[in-house]
Amino acid sequence: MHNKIVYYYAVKLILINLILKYLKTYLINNSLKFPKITISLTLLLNAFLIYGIQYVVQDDDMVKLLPKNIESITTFEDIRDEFGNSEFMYIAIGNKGSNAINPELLKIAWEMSEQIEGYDPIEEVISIPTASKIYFSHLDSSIIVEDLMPQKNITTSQLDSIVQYLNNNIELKKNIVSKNEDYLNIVIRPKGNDRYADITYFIHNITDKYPNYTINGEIKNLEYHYGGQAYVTGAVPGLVASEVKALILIGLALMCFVLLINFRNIAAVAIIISIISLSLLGMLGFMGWIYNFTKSDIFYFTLNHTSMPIVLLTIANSDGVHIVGRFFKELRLLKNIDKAIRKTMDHLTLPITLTSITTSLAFLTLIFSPLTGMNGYGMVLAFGICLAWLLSLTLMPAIISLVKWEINSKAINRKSLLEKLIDKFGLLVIKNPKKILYPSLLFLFISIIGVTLINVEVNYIKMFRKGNIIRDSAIFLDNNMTGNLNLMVNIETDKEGALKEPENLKKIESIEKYLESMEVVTSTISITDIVKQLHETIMDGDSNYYSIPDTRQEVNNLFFLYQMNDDSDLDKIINYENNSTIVTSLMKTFSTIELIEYRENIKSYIDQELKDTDLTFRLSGIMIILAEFIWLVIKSSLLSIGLSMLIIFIVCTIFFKSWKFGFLSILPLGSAIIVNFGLMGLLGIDLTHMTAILSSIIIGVGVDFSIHYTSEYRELLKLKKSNKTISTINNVGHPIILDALSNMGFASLMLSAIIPLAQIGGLMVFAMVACSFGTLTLLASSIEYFKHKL
Amino acid sequence: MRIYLNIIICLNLIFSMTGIELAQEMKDRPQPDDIQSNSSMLLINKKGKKKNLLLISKSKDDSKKQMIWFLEPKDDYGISFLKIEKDEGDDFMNMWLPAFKKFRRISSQKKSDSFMGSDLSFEDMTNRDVDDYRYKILDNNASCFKDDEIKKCYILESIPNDKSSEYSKHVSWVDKENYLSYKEESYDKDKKLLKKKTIRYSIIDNYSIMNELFVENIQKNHSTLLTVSDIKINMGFTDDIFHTKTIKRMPLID
Repeated sequence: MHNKIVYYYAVKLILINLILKYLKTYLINNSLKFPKITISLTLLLNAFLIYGIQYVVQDDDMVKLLPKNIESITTFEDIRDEFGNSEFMYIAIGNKGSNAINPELLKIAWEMSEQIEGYDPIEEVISIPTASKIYFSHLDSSIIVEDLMPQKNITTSQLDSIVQYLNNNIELKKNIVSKNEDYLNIVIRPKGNDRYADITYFIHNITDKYPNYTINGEIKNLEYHYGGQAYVTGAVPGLVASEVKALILIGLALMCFVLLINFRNIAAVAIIISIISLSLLGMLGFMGWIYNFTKSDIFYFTLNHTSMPIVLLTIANSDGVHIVGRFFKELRLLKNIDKAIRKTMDHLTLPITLTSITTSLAFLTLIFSPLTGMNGYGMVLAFGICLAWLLSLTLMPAIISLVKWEINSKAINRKSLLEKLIDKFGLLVIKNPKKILYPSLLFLFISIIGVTLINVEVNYIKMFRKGNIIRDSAIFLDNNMTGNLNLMVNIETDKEGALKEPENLKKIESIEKYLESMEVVTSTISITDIVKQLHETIMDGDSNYYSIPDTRQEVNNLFFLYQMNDDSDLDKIINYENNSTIVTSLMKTFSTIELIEYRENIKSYIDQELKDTDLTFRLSGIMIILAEFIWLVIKSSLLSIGLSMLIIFIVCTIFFKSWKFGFLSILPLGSAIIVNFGLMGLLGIDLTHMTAILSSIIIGVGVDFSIHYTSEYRELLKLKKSNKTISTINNVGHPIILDALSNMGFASLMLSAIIPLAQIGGLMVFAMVACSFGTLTLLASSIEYFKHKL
Repeated sequence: MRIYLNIIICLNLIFSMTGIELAQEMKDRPQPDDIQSNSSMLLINKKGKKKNLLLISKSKDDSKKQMIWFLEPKDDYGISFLKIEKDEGDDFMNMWLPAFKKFRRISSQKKSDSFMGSDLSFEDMTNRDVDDYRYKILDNNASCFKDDEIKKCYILESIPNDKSSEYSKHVSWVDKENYLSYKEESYDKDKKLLKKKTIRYSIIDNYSIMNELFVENIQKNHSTLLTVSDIKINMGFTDDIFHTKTIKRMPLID
C-alpha cells in the first residue's frame, strides 16, 4: 500500500505534472502565442546544429566497429603495431587470355608502381617492377640480390630472366601474376588504416591514365580489377553514400506522394517533410559537433550509419503524420484553426512525448552494444529523435497556426478513402476479436519457426549484386589471384632470439603447412619461406636445401644475409627481438557459415599438434575478425531488442500506471520483430550487420504505433466512453496506416546495388505492415478480448 | 660608395672557393695510411627498440679497402666482411658466413642496400670521388656546431652524376678551417629528406679521425649510432692482407 502511494506520487508529480504541464502550458502555448519567434528560434537552433555537418567524418574500417578488448582485435592491433599494416589493396591489370608478362605492360606496371610508391600514405608496393630477386650466381659463386625488373624498358633477355625467376619462385609469382599469366598484380600496403578512401581515389586516378596500351602494333583496352580489404574499406563508403543519397531522395519523394494523396493538401505535406528534413540535418550536424568535440571514433559515419537517416525519417514522419492527421480531424469538427491545433497538441503531447522518450531510450541502449561502432549510432539517433520531438511540439504547431487553412476544402471537410476503410476495419475488430487474434497468433508462430532458420552472413561479396565492381573484382581475385581474405597467426615467445631456433621454425612451418592444406588458402607467407629460400641459395642453389637449417648459427647467418637487402621485408614478418612473428595466409572469399568451422579447425590443430612448446599462437586477420563480428552482430541485435523492450515496458508502465498497458505497448512491437526476422529466415534473407538494423526501425516505428493506440484507448477508458476500440481505431488508425504507407516509400532502397540495403528496402515494407497491422489487429483484438481485465 | 661595394663583391667572387674546390680540399685532407678500430653500432628502430653490434674494423687507403669482423651479438660472432673498391668496374664485396663455412659475394648493383641492417647503405660506405658529383656552395658563411662550439662553415651541395645513386643530393656543413664535415643531409630521388648525419672527430697524431657517426633515416624513423674506439693508425697494413682468407679468422687485437 505504502509502495503504491509512493509510486503514484512519483509518477504523478514528477513526470506528468512537471513534464507534461510544462510542455503543454509553456512550450506549446508559447509556440502558438508567438509562432514567428518560435519558428525563428527553432530554425536558428537547427542552423547551428546543421553547421556541424562539416565535421562529420566518414570511415568504414570494420575494425573500428568492434570493441578493442576482444582477442582477435587485440592481436590485430598488436600485429599492426609490430609489423605494420596487414590490409592490402590489389590492382590486377591485363587482358583475359593475353600474356601479361610482356615489356609493354610491364612498363605500365613500372610507371604505376612508381607513382603509387611516391604517394605519402603508401608503405610499399609489391609488383614485378618492385620485387627483388635473390639467387646464387655460379659465375663468381656469389649471392646476388637485385631488382627483378632492372629497368622500365626491358630487353627480351631481361624478360626471359623475369619469367624464369618467377617460374622458379611460385609463391612470389602467385602474389604478383595471375594464374593464367594474363594479369599483373600490383599489391599495395598502406601505411595506416585511416586514408583508404584517399588511396582508392588516388589509384583510380592513376589507372584512368592508362586506358589501353599497344602491343605488337595492336591497341588493347586494359582491364582493371581492384580488391582487398583495404580497397573495399576505401571504396564502399563512397559507393554506399551515393546510393543512399539518391535512394533516400526517391524514398522521400514517394513519401510525399503517399502523404499528398491522403492529405490532399500541399501545405500539410510540406510541413511534415520540412520537420523531418530539419530533424535529419540537425542530427547529422550534431554528429559532426560531437565528433569535433570528442574525437571519438564511435562517432564516425560508417557503413552502418547509412541506415540512420532512414530510421530517423520514419520515426520523425510518425509524429508529423499524427499531428496533421489529428489536426485535420479536429478542424473538421471545430472549424477553428487555433482551437483545433490546441486540442490536437493537448491530445498528442503525451503520446508523442512518450514515444520519443521510449524510442530515444531504446536507441540509447545501443551504448551497451558490444559493437562499439553502434554506441555512437545509438546516441546520435537518440538525439535526432529528441530533436524531431522538439520540432514537432514547437515548430510544427507554430507553422500550422500561421497557415491559412481552407476549412471548407475537401481535404479537411471530407474523410479520405483510407480513413473510411479504417473505420470499417474498426467494426471488424470489435465484432470478431477472436477471428483477428487467432490468425495473428498463428502467423506469429510460423514466424518463430522462421527465426530459427535465419542465417548470419557478413561476407561482403554477398552484399553486392552481380555486375557491381566490388563483387566482380573480388570474385576475379578469388579465381585468378590469391583471394581477398587473410588469416594471420601471430607466434610469440618471451625469449629474445627464440625464433632463430630451428625447432621453433619447424613448428611455424608446421602451422603454415596446415594452413596451406585448407582448400580456401591460396598462399602463405612466413619467415620459414625466407629462411628456406636463402638456405637453398647459399647452398649453391641446390633445391635439396630448401629446408630449415639444422643449427641456430646457420639460421642466424641467413637472417644476417637477408637483412643486408634494403628491400628485405623482414621487419614485416619478424620483430626486432626475433621473438614474435606472423604467418599470413591469403584466402579466397567464403561463406560465413564455413568461417567458424575453419577457425575451430585451426585452433584444434594448434592445441593438438603444437602443444609441447613455449610458443603461443594467436589468430587474427580479416577471417577471424569476421568470425567475431558475426557473434557481435547477433549479440548486439538481441541485446538491443531485449533492452529496448524492457525500457519501453517500464516507461509505459510508469506513464500508464499499469503493467498491463506496459505489456500491451510492447506486444505489437515484439511480434513485428519476430515476424520480420521470421520472414528473413523463411525467405533466406541473411542477417548482416546492415539488416540487423531493421530491429531498430521496427522498435522506433512500432513503439510509436502501439503507444498512440494505447494512449488513445486509455484516454477513452478514463472518460468511460463506450465503443472504445472502434473509437481508438477511428482516431489513430488513419495516421498509423498513413505513416506506415508513407514510410514504405523507402522501398526505393530495393533498387540499391548493395544487397542488404535493397533487402532493408523490401523488409521495410513488411516491417511497416507488421507494425501497423500488429497494432490494429493483434493489439486491438487483444485489448478488445481482454478489455474487462484491463 | 657603390663602386667600392661592387669591387668588394667582385673580389669576393674571384677569390671565393667554388664547390668543386671545396670538395677537393675535403678530399685532400691528410689521412693516415690505415686505421684499425673497435666499433659499436647501436641500431634504434621506430619503437625505440635497440640492437647493439660490436665489430672490429681494419681499413686502408681512406677505407677503399676494409675488413670488418662481428663480435656481438653472440649469434653474429665470426661473420665478417671484406670490401675492396675499384676505380673501374664493380667493387668487390665478400662476406664470410662461419656457420656455413662459405664466402658469399655481395652484388654491388644495389647501392641502396643497408649495411648490416644499419642506416648506412653501401653507397654511404663508399668513398666519394670528387669527379662523381656536381657541387655548389649554398652558403660560405654559415654557422655550424662542432660539439657545443659554434664554427663558421660552408654549406656544400653535392649532386651525384650517377643516375643509379639512391640520392638526389647531399647537403654538407663543412668547417671553413679544416674542411671537416660535421653534418650532412641526404635527399632521396624524390628530393625528400632521407637521412641526417652528424659526425664527430678525434685527433690522433694530427689526423682528424671520425669517432662518432649518428645517422637518422627520417623516412623509416630508424637510427644508427656508430661509435669508434681504440683507434690505431698507420699500423702498416699491406694490400695483401685485404683478402678473403684473412676474414675467415677473427683478428688478434693488441
